[in-house]
Amino acid sequence: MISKKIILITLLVLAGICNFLFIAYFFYKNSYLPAPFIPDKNDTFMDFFHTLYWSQNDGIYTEWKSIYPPLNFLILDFFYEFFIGDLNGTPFEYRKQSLSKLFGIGVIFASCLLASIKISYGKLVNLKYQLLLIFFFLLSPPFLFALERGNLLILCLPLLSLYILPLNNIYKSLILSLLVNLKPYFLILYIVIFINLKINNKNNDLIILTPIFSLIIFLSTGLILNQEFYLVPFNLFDFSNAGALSPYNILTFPSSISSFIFLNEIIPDFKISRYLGYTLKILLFYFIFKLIQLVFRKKLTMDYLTIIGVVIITNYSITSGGYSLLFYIPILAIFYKNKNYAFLAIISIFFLGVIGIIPIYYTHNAIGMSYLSSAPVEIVQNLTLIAVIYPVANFIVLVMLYNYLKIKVNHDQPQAKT
Amino acid sequence: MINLKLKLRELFFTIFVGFLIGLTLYYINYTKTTQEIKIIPGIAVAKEFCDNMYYININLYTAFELSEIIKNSMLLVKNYSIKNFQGELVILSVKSEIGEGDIINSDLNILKENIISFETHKFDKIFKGVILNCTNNSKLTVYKKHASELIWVNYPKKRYNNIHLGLLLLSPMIIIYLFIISFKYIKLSEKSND
Repeated sequence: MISKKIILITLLVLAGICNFLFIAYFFYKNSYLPAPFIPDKNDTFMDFFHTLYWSQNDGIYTEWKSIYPPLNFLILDFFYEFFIGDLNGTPFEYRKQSLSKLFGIGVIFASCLLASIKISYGKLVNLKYQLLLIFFFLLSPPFLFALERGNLLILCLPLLSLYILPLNNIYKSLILSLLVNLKPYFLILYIVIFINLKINNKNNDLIILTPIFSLIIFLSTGLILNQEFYLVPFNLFDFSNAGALSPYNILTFPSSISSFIFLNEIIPDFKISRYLGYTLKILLFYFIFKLIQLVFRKKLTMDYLTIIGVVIITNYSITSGGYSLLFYIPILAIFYKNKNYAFLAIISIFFLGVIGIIPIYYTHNAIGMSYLSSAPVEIVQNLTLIAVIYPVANFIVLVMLYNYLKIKVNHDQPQAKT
Repeated sequence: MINLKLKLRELFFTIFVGFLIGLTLYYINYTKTTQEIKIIPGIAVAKEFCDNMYYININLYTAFELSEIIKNSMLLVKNYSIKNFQGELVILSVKSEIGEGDIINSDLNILKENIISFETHKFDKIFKGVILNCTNNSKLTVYKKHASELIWVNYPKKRYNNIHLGLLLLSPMIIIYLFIISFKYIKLSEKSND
């Protein structure tokens, strides 16, 4: 008898295979990758090569105004020395000269995903399920999108999986410090624990050691890199003010309902969208505030504090976009362990391949170079179902989490009778 | 709670070792200089003057080719990078030590000769003798607008500002201090758990 669980996961994998075959067929017919891949088809892998280029050049924080802490550039420097070799010219020429290495880079990225699944699900499900999960996540839109960009965010996945394990708080602080030094928005995980400290003093070590370890890593990697690393906080502030991405880029693969503010610029006739966007943003901040209030007032386990942190990261930021949904991979393991099937169902939507292939709004045609076919192509730009489903589903996760925790905590900690 | 105070011997160790490492880093980096060199690249042009329309307007070398030329020309200075390669201006950044001005100059003379000979070779190979047939029956030849010109922008300036150098001096002390207090805290925490 085949269990319902295996039928469900197999169906999800088949949806991923459908998505992948559609992408391959679309590429064969049109010579470029369809939406929701980034609109600039000549920018494939460039998140990786821009960062790699700057890891070898002066001016990371003064000219490029990078928001990545020095650890990212040291990791890439290591890649450069041991895997990639001598490159010359601009970031685009780096990519041209690394053609034979691209497969290796893809393998490293996929290994991070495999490591994350092994760490998070190793003790929860058997090898057969783990293999199905690997296929499911490898073919999912967030992973394919992050791979196409070559974004270093994938390196955070095994660390986040380790962070969720029931480890000693000293190891946890070290892992969290590494995460903060890879992507500064992981500070939110720390802030959430800090807010809960008054109620839950079990995490004292984590609260004290994380800033110390983070500072040690930041200063030592900064000294080794020997560039103006102290400008990172200022660059972060500038980046959040400057609006680094175009509305179309944001809406192609969003994770936050705040991105709906930009709908008006893509669909000018849909006048109400701006007001709708701002209303939804206010609603989003309201629920984030309520969730933080809950963290301040109620004793929560480390698992739920981590979930809250990841839900806030993915819902709040519009610049981290669809990539950040990959952080739900370790989080799904917690929900599975706790038998929260409603959360499992809704979060699985983020990894459901077929959503990415359904276009919902045609925007315009553009002519541009396609890196993967090395030819100029006429690109049909459109938004897919992802543009609506992902932010809405993510917001539902936020609201559900708030309601679930409110009820659960009240149930676990009954008020003392007066 | 964490104990932020250090014992006398820990304080001595932090100041002595940290300051020694910091001073070394400070001294190594204090003498480093950087110099920007601007180049106006040679351009191949085919232009219809009446309509003021360009049919060809292209740099005679790519950033990759320039990197290769630099690699073969900079015999003494090894540290250089292309900071800008857009349109009609290329900016090179050359890193060296104080007092290496003559070395840079001798390398730059070789660089200039090599660039010009590369341009001439490429122009002769690709564009010389090319005649464009335009829609209005006119025939256009491709010509070299000018050869590359190297412009020395400024004298070498210090690569790192005082904030950076100050951080290099102080950071090892801060790192050692943080190591000691975290180590003491972990030991204390493990003891209390036992």
